[in-house]
Amino acid sequence: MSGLVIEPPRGRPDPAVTPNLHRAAAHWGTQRADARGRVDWEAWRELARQIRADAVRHLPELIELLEARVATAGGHVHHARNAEEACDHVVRICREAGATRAVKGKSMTSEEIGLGAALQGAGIEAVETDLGEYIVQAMGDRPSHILAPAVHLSAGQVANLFARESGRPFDPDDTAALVSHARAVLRQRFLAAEVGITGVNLAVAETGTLTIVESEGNIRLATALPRIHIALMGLEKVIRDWEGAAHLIQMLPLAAQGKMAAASTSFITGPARDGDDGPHELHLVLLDGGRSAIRGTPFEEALHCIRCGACLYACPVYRQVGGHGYGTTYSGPIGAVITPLLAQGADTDDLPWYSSLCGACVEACPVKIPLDDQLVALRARAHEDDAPRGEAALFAAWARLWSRPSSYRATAATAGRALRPLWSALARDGWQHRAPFPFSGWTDGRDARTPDPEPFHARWRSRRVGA
Amino acid sequence: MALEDDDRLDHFRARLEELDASLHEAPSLADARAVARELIGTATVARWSDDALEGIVEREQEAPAVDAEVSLILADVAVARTGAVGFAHRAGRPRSTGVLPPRQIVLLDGADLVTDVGAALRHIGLQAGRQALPGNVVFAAGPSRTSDIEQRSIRGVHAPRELAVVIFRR
Ligand code: SF4
Repeated sequence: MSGLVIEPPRGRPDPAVTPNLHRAAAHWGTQRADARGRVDWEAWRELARQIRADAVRHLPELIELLEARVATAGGHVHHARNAEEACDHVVRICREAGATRAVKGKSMTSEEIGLGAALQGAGIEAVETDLGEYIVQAMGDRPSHILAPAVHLSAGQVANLFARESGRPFDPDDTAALVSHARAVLRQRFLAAEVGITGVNLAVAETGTLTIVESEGNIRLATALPRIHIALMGLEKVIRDWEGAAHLIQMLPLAAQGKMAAASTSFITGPARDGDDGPHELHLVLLDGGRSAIRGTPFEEALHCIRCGACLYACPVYRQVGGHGYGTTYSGPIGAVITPLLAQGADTDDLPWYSSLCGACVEACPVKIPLDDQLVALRARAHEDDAPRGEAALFAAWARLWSRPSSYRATAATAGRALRPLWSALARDGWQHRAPFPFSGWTDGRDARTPDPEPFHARWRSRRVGA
Repeated sequence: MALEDDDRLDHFRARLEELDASLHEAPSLADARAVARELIGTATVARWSDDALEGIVEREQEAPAVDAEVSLILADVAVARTGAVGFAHRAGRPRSTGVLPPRQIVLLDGADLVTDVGAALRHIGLQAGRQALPGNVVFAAGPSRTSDIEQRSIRGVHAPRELAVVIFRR
């Protein structure tokens, strides 16, 4: 099983998390709007869409070309049909080199395949080096956003963590001190590492060049100091040529952070050459993981995604429940679309309902993926696949019963009276965390509000009498 | 559309300012060296072995990249529309020197300032049909930064936290 599905979702809006997310969404919303004003945003989106559509339509031939070019440049290419094979490749490469210390750059693909656990199991220490990922790893937590893994955490939580780690106090308001602590700790890890593991933002087929964008410089260090570089990428990240690359490396930071350029963009063609420092071995692990099967279906456009994260903050559902609420590696609108498509067999069919279908995600998307249409189509598909036979009849009978005020009142009042003792026995701070069957079907994955002891109808009646 | 020389410099200057990097203009390479020397002061330096970077620091000032306070490097290209400087790493121009020290001084030949990213990629040799592409190229736009803690923007994480570009005319 891959790392696509992590845990039952924690779908209750977490009072501590929600303000963090709202602040982030507002911040990046303004940043993006400012930057977009500088370019012909609609024309840029259309061009980006075309570049990605071309790549996905011609995926097999472009992958073949990429593979040949990476090999010509002196790199090794490894194909992985699924998460397990991808992890096996990475572990084997480390073992063959006798390496036990790795530094990792942020890579959602590595989360998707559950690489952290695989490396740990193989006795290879892999330290996350992106600041947000480092914090999340040290907390034993999981990333909650494609680009901002620790967006759900507050500075206070980070200060506490670093204080525990170092044995000296940190002021949550002194962000610079927090950052320089992480810098110092990680610097030692970089210097000791034998392997650098990174993701890939886009791979240019015509020359076999891997392109990685970042803000912090950890990718540059991970591809400068260790003697081996392992790059992990989903097949769909390939593009045809440099013309496309020139556009997308501008589009990505613009959509992600509202910046005209990423702080660093690395272009890697083959391993280091004679007299050059840097890794003298380059391995590219190409993950299919269900991607090829999406081509040629009505969901093909989901593969155009460049993982900019814009649709996440744009989504009102994401802003309420946060990335962890989805219980999956990829959250937000794109997560609700891509997860059921990739996680064949796993039970993720309810994810497409994590959306209000307001369309904000579509407007935010730099490659114009029709996320709303895809969510609707996935809902229809989920229904076709496994709606229990009796369900439709049951809902129809329910609808008939509650269409008349008299029968609605009678049944609702009875049900309410019958269940009230149960609710009050189980309630904690107004929420139901673990209800007995059949309600456990809901509360296993998310919390439910405890029904008000006095139903709305009763309150309405008494108000009218009093008025 | 390609920009005229003066416009290019204006754009570049404006972008660098937004990125929290500084731009110093020098009429000649010799002047650029003098500006760099002044910026460095008495700090320890790791540098690339390009000819343009000769004669700026005293031998006693030089230090290995891990210990140096300043890195002194030469750009191959710069992008007016984004404020990025681009450089290819190779023998004599190690990656570690470019990324480890906390302060960075980049010399840039005005002739290498181009309008946009597409032109910059071609200028530095990232295009199809060449015998061998440069194996490792980095485009750096301003100091390294993070917003991972409550979206507070902090300069300087793993790569330089201060970036000064010295542009000169040959
Ligand atoms: S679906 Fe679009 S907006 Fe969402 S992460 Fe992918 S590219 Fe960005």
